[in-house]
Amino acid sequence: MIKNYFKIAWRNIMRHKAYSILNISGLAIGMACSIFILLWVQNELSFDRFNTNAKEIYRLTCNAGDFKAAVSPAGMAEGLQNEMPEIKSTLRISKPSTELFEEGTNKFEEKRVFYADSNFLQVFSFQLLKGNRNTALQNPDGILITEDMAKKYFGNEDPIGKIIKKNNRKNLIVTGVLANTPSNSHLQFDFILPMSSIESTDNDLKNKTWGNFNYYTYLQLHKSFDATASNISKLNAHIKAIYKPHGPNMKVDFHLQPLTDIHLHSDLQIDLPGNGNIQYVNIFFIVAIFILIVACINFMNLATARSQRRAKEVGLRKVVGAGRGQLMAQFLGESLIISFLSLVIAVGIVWLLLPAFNHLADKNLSFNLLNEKLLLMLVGIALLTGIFSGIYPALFLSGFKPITVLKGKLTTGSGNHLFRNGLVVIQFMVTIILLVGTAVVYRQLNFIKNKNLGFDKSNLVYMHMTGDIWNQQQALKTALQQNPNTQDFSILSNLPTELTTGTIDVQWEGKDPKSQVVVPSMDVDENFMKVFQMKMLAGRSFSSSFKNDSSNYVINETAMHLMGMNLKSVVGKNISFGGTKGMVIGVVKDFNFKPLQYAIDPLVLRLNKYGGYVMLRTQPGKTEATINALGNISHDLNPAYPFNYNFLDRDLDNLYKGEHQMGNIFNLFAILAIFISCLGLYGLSAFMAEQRTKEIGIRKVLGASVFSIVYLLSGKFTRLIAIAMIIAVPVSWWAIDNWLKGFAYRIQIGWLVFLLGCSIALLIALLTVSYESIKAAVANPAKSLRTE
Amino acid sequence: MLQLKNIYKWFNTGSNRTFILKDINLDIKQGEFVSIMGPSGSGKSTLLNVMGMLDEPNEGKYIFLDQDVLHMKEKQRSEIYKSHIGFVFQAYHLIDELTVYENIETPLIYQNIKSGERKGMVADMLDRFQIVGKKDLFPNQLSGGQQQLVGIARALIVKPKLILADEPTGNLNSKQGEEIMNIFKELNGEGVTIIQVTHSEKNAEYGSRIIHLLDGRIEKES
Repeated sequence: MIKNYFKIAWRNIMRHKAYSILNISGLAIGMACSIFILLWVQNELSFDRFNTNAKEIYRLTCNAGDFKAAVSPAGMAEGLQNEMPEIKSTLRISKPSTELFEEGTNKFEEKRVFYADSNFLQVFSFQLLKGNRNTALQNPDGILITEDMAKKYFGNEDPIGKIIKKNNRKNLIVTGVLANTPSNSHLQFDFILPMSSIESTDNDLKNKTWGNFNYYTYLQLHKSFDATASNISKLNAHIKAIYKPHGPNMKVDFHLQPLTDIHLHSDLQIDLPGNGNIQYVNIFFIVAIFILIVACINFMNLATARSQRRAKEVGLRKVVGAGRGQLMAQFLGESLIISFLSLVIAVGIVWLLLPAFNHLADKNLSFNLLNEKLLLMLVGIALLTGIFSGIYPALFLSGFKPITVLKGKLTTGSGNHLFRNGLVVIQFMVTIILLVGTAVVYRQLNFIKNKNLGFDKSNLVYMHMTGDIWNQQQALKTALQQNPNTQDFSILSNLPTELTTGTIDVQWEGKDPKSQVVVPSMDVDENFMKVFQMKMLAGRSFSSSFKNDSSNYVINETAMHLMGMNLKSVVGKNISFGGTKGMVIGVVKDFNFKPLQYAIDPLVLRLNKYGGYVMLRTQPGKTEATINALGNISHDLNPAYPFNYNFLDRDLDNLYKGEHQMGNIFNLFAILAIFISCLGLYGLSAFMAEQRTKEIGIRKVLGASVFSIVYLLSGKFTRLIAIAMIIAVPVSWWAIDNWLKGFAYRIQIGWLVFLLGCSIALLIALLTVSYESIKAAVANPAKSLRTE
Repeated sequence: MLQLKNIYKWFNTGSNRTFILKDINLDIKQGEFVSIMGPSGSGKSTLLNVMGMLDEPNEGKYIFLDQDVLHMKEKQRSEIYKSHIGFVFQAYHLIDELTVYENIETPLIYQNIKSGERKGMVADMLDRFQIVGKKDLFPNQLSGGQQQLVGIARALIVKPKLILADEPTGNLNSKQGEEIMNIFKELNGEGVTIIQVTHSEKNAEYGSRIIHLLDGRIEKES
């Protein structure tokens, strides 16, 4: 019997080739999209789960009012372990550090360098290819490098025991080679150095401080610990209690963040870069299901529309003894065959286009069919699609009464029409939502890109001070001033892209003693306002003509409002920042110094006496000359270090890389969903035109014009799309509003976006439908009537 | 074999009730060859469909092989007609997507007969109607007479006790029609009960009993 079904299904596929191609290609594209998205989602969800102890590891995060950060004080690890029996071990990791490494003639500035406690390889499961796992980080002069770095510095030689020179001074011995960091690790490193190597120089480590939040602390709890939400919150409370005596004036909470939550559930400042966003995972997962549903709807629609063709077969089979169950099995079997056929094609598409998708999503996804889980997922998709899209046609077709069918009186009931129309409405609803979503995402990203940040971000080149430059500030300034290309420069402590410092130690007149605000600061020189082209609202900026500016402050508008001052009264007020008293000499117009997801915080500017970054404003057309000049200065003053520079606007763009990627992926899948919908609509319209050939013939004989017939045939779809619009507008408004809430700076959603989405959907639909409609309308009526 | 008692069938148009079958009483014995005649719209095909359980009357009683069919569940009823009744249609009604062989085989599949057994039975049928050479052709590659032969072969494959034929020769020329009627005659000789609807006096003569219908009533029997 199964063989028989299979044969019939196959013949049906082959006989109605156009129909089959429509069906299979729609399903295949839909499945390929879903597979891509699911691979992506799976990858996002897999972060850090490769760690054997993943379930027992937590990161200690802190929360001081609005300021949530991923860092904690250096002394806490030891302190907590001494008092909390639940903790098996603690591990501290430094913030990423930039170091110069040198081996023979190979000399590179490396940015993915971390210092870690010696149990790094015991807590985490990063693979050590060479060296001893237990002792690799015991030697304070040791260094662990990844496979890629081994190749970069040592070629094919065995790096173990070899020397790498750090920052032109210290010799380190390679004690182990790590496998490259898995792409699904939140911690992305090239070098791991033992914490013991900086223990004697770093004040935080030396003093086991509880006051400065500068390290990432990971806690590994005992296996026996029952990690329920209430137990975790008890631990959090315990940690807070332990902290209290160390910082009686600090209002700070601590939270244990599960390792596996770091990638997707982190909304923390001073975090490691590259975190994902659970919102995008959810959005994409829904989009994947939407696309699959749209493809299934095509199948259902075409199958039921074609029911008249199949009706006779159904009737006959019933007359010769087929039960309804057997017929349903037959039709379900057919849809399963089609869905598995589509799956095979989809797998081919995925296999071909995976590199392109990886490029788009900036991922390193692999597609290995031998992976049982993946195979299971694929078969699951095909089964689900087959059953979901086949069940309605099967129910519908097997329900025919043989007698009506054989009498040739089959009129597909109004219920069927309603259902089919409902499906078309759903399809276009999804289409419109995706279209509107695409437009909004595009506009918001553009808005971010072009938003006035409060300073002119273009033509700004900067260099991070390294090595000997730190000690030659005056020579640097002189050299910069001498060259006309570099004389428009400023020296500042931090870039206004992602400011990560802050203190709660701020006092001003009339401050509510109970309030606690984290106020970030930047140390800038006298040229800062000029180079960044910022605007002063009151008072003056730092100036070399005033001697006492090193104890004066410039604050931003937000800080002024926070302190309850106004533009008239603010200048001359005394405040204390980080324990240092000083006078406010000016107010700068608010500018953004964090990603636009965050609103502008209060900011205090201090006079910079130690350096940090050299920022240059280049003159139009002289960018290259400026960079060369800066390079020469760097080379003269700091010959041991390679010269590195960056553009500030590129850094700013990079802040929204995740959003851009998500925008790109979203656009791609929106377009594909629309395409799949159109495939289905085309099939449906072709079918209806064919069904009404006779009617159209008669109408034409009676004098109907081509236009009126096209109108007749496409009018119905227009009405359906109108209904889809009515449903789609509020749904998409809600979804967009939710997404935009994640940005402190966002576009207003105007009605124009909805109008645009709706009209594009309508236009595409009408274009799709009109081809078959026009074909039917211009056909010679004599022909169509004769054949009937 | 089957008894119809006070069978009524109607449909409502507005407040009027139009009868298709009106108080039909009929008793057909095993081995009879019955022809039902009457003008268009007299209810012939409906009556045949009621007897074949493809259609239900609005009122009345139908006993088939001593069982009250109208009170059965759909499943039991289909069990009965699956194994006892074969249908032959005016328009042949073969499944276009299947070959001659497969068309004849289909009823056996639905009776869950094993494939080896099915092969033998289909081969016998093909032999009997001398269409072995056509077994791999599709219906649209056959002439009308040949298609009807396949239709009859399909009806006979389950060895039914009763064959219901709705104008089996309606679409055939006279020579082909005669062939088909001879086959029916022959089958009747073998003990199969045959009930046919026909317009043609000549074909009706093949039967042992003729029932004349007019406006849903049995007008006369001969």
